[in-house]
Amino acid sequence: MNRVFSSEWLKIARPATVLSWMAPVVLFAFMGTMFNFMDAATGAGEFRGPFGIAPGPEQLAAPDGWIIGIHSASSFIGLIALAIFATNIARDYEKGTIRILLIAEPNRFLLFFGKLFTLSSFVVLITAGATVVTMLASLALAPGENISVSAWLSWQGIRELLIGFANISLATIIWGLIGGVLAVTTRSAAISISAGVGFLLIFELLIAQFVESVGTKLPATVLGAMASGGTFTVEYSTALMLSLAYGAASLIVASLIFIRRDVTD
Amino acid sequence: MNNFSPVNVGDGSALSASGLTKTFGKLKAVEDLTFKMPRGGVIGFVGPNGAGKSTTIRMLLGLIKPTGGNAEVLGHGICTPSAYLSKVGALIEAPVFYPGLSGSINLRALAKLGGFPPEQVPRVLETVGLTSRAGDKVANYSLGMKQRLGIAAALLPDPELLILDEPTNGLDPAGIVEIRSLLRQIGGSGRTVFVSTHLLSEVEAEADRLVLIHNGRLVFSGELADIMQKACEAVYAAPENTADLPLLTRLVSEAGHLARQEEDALIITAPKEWSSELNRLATSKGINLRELRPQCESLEDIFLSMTRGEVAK
Repeated sequence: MNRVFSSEWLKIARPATVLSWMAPVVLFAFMGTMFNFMDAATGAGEFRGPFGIAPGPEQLAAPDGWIIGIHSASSFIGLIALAIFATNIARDYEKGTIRILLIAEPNRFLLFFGKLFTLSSFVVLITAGATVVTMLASLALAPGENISVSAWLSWQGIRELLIGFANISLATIIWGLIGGVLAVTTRSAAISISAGVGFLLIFELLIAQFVESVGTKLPATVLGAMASGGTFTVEYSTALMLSLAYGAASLIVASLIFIRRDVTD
Repeated sequence: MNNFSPVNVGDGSALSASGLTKTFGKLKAVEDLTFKMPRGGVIGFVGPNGAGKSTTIRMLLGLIKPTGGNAEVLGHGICTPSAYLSKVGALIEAPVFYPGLSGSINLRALAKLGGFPPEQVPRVLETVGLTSRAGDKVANYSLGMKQRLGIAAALLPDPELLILDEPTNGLDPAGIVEIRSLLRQIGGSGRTVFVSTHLLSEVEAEADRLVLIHNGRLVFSGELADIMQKACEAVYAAPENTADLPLLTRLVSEAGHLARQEEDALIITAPKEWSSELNRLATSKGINLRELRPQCESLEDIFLSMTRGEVAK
C-alpha cells in the first residue's frame, strides 16, 4: 500500500495539478463565505441560489459561524472531488497507463485501495486549503457586518472548526468514491463526470420532487447534510449513517469491478 | 548501452501455454494455443495484425483472464500474476506514460510502485539512450523516444523475462539496430526475451526461437534454425556460359535431383551441402559456375505457405 501511495503522490503532487484542483474549491468556499456575510443583518433567510439560504447574524456569530461558508459550498467541493477521483482512475484506462500500473503492482486490491487512499488524502488536503480560506475570509468579512468573532476563537469555536472540517472531509471522500465507481464502470472521465453531475445535481432533484419520501435519502442531499453537521430536513446522525452506507457501497462495487474486470484498453 | 550481467535463471520453461483460449463474445481471439519455450534467448512471437498476439500477451501478464486452457510464466500459473510479475518486464502495444510528467518521473513512479531500486532509473535510461532527455515531459517525446522509454520501463525490474510488443515501432533504422543489439545482449545473458511482432524480417534478424500464430491458432513453435533449415532446401546455380544450361540440367538429373530453369540459372531441389558436389561435377565437365549458393525462402514465404496449409507443422 505504501508503494502505491508514494507512487501516486509522485504523480499528483505537482504544482499545476494541485493548483488546478484547489483553485475552484477555494473559489467556491470563498464565494459561499461571501454570500453568507453579504447583508448579514438584513438578508437572513434569503435564498442565495446554489449556496442555499443565507444565515442570520446570530448563526454567523455562533462558534461554528466561521466555517458556515464552506458548508454552503460543500456540494460544489463534493463534485470536484468526484471529478478528481473519476479523472484519475478513468484516465488510466483511457490512456492505457493502467496496463503498466498492473504489471508493476499486479495485486489489484492493493493498487486500487492505494489509489483511493492517495486520492482521499489529496481531496482532504484541498478541503483543508478551502477551510483555511473560509476561516480567513470570515475573519476579514465579519467586522464589516458587525459580527462578533469571539465565539469563533474560543475553544468551542476551535472544536466546531475541527468537527466541521472532519465532516466535510468525510463527505468529500464519499463524493470521490462515487466518482471512483463511475470511473471503473464507464472507464471514461468525461462520461463519469457527466453522469455524476447529471444524477446528483439534476436527476436527484427531480426524484425528490416526485417522490418526496426518498428525497431526503438520496446521496447529494445526505452528503450535504452530513457536511453541514445536519440540516432541518436530515438529522446529522441519519446523514452520517446514510453517507457511510453510500461510501461503503461505492467502495465495494468499485473494488469488485476493478479487481474482476479484464483490462482490454 | 549497458552490459547485462549473466544470470542463472534455472531450468524449466520461460513460457508455456496449454489449450489457451480467449473469446470476446462470438469472436475467438485465441484458440487452443499450446507451446512451450525454454528459458534464455530471444523468442519471436509472430503473426499478422489481429492474429491474437496482444490478447495472448495480456493473458500472460494477468490483464485478462483466459476463457479456457492455462499458461505458465516462469513456472507460475497465470492465475497468480503476483507470483511472477516482479521478475517480468513488459511493453504492451504502444508505450503509454503520463504525458505531463518527465520521462524520469514516470520511471521513478513506476519504480516506487513496483518496489524496484531507484538507482535502476538512471541505469535503464542510459541503456536506452535517453539520459539527456530524461527531464523533458513525455508529451514532447517523439514516438521513437516513447518507445525507448517503454523499453526502459520494461527493464526496471532487471527482469528474468522481458515481454515486448512491437518494440521497434517508430524507431529510425539506427534505433532499430540498437534495440535489436540490446535484445540480443539481454537474451544472451540467460534472460528470456519474448518479442511480439508482425514483421517477420525482424524476427529473422533477432530470434532464436519462434511461436507463429495465425487467426488465434498456433502455426509453428520451435527453433528458428529448424524452420530456416526447411527453407534452404534448394541450390541456385548459374553457369558462366548460358549455353551450358542443358548439360548442367542433365548432370543434376543424373545425380537424382530435380531442377528447374529460372532465367539463366537453375534452381535445384537439394540440400545446400550438395553445392560442393555440384561444383565438382560441373568443373569435371568443363562448366564454370559464376554463382552457386543455397536458395532460401524468406521466413515470410514460409509463414505464408504454412498459413495456406501447404507445409505441415
